[in-house]
Amino acid sequence: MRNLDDIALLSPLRRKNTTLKVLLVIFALLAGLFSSSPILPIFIMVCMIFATLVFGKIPPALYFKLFLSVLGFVAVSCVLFAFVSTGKGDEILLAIPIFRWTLTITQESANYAVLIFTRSLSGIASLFFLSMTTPMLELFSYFKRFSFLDVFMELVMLIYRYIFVFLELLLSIQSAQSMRFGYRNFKTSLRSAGMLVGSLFIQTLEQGDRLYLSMNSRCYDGKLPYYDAKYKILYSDALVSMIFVAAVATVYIYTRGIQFF
Amino acid sequence: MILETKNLEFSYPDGTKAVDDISITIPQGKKVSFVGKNGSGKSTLFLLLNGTLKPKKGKVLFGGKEVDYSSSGLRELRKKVGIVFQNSDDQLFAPTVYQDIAFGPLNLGYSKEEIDRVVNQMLDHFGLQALKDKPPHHLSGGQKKRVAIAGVLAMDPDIIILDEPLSNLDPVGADEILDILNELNDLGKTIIISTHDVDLAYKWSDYVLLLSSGKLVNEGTSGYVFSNDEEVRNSALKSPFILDVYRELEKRWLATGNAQPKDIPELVQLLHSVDLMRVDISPEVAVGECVNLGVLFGDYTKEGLYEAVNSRVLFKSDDGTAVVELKRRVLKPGAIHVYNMDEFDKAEFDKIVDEYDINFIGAMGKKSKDIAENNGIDVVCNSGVIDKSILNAITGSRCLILTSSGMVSHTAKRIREYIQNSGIRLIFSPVGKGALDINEENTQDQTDGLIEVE
Repeated sequence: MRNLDDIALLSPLRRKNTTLKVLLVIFALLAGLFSSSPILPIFIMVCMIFATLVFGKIPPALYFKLFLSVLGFVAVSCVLFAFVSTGKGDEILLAIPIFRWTLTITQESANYAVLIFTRSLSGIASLFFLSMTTPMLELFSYFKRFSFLDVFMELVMLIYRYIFVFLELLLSIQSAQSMRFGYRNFKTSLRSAGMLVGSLFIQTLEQGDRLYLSMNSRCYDGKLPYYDAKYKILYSDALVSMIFVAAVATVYIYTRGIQFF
Repeated sequence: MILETKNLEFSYPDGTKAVDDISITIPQGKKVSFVGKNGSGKSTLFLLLNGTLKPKKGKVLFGGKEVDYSSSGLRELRKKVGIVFQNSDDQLFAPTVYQDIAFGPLNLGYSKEEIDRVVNQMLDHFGLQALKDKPPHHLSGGQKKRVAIAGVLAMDPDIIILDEPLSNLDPVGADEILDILNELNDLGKTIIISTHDVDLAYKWSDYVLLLSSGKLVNEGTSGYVFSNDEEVRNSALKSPFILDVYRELEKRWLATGNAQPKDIPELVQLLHSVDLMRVDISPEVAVGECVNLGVLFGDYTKEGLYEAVNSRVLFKSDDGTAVVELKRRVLKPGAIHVYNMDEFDKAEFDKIVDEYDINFIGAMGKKSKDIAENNGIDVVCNSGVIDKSILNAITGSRCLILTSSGMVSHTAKRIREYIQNSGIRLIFSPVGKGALDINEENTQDQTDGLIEVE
């Protein structure tokens, strides 16, 4: 089973400076948000997808599967936006009469919908870039530098570790149940799911006991070590980042105000 | 006597008596096994030994002093007595390998540089450097076990207790863990394991404690404990496979009696079949006289390529032939060389393989296997290397064992012991730059290389 964190762990961009990646993504998010034309977000989205797939070596099939699943939600909400019109004197592009009412799409609302749609996509692509190239492990040491509350960070690290242990347990219990027809129909499914949750809960309690035991056996004194991942910013990294920033700025200036409708 | 218990008794809240009046002494620097079926009290005993559980009656003594159950006393004890749990997932709680190994040293208050030094030393030692920033759920079972041991060893304990260390491991992974345990023992650590694998306990341990339903049934050298069939059976265990085979052979007069072979080379050493042959013979030779049959080779040899054969006439028949009993001496002997992979040098290595006409290479330990793999060395054997090398050398192969510096002396000791006990004199020498220090004490083993039968 592969999850986003596993993908990020295997990506070559994992070993790039986390600060640089976070700053780039924040820049891309803000630039997309403040753009007045849909062209800039599209440009950012293309760059981010390119970086994720080519530099990050993420399998394209998997990437687009995830991307499309999000795209569905965004598309539906943007279609709704297209029917929300504020201006009175706009040119009406489309009018759909339903009984006594008429749903209209005006030029303004269409442009607004497209802008929101592209902005969302650029934001998604940027966040995908970050999450598919930066595993939780790097974020832990990153947050540590901002001196997050120790207790909080330690909890997060232990939870992170045991999510995978329990995920494995969950899958094996589930397959053991389905092997014995536990999910044959709705009634048995409900019963099996209940048993699954119950036994997982008991297991977590027991695992907690064993965890405490093993931590104590290794002289636990309230301290959990951090892994200090120090990845230097290479000359080439800086160069690529600067080119990206410059390109975004250029596109921003030259496409201001350009609309599709 | 580093760790002792006196009349130790412990029962769980539900009333089950898990440990019942156990008095033991663990000898320092030995390989010790607690053997018993599941639920015989091994794990509970371990938790008592490292102070996690407090005995209801009796006491635990470490280094002659009674264990102090205050929090600082327990820390002191747990620093000295490290415990590796059966399920690695219980033990590996940190998100990365590095963090997990650093856990003990950090909590013992080491400085940051010191922690980094210790952890890197462990990573190097266990061949984990490439995995240091991986989360434990990306590791294989053997890798997890190695990380767990590294995490305990990072605190530099005197005693390492391992609960079922080889459960759920594949054979090569298990062999790697055993190599590690032998190496640690060689470095002076007392190793205690629990197991219900009688073959492992019999072969591996110096000292065995047999447990059954919370009680100590027997203790002593593994040969002694397992020679008592009835006790072993009553503890719901079986006698070791190799011992069973040996006993059957002995019953049929195929092996020398009253021995306790621990591995295949030792068993092979005990075999003696009567070696008869019908030969043409001149009439003047009488029954009981010795005849030199010269050098045999090819299909007529048993152990080497060429064998010088003497024979004693047992029976003469009228047609001019006689039945003789053969005594063979192998002319082209095998050899075992040990190479220290920490000092690996490609040019030197190739020269050694060429010069000594090596035709069997075995690697021990993860690190040497990695180096061998990276350098395209054709390793024939990955597990049970010492045994296989001895077996091959007996049959005339020239073997090279690749290992890391920690293991060189252990390997040398094993092979020398074999040479000493068996009376078979194999050529044995450490080779290469890394071997200089043990070569000196080893000169007497450089023999003329003839295998002497009887």
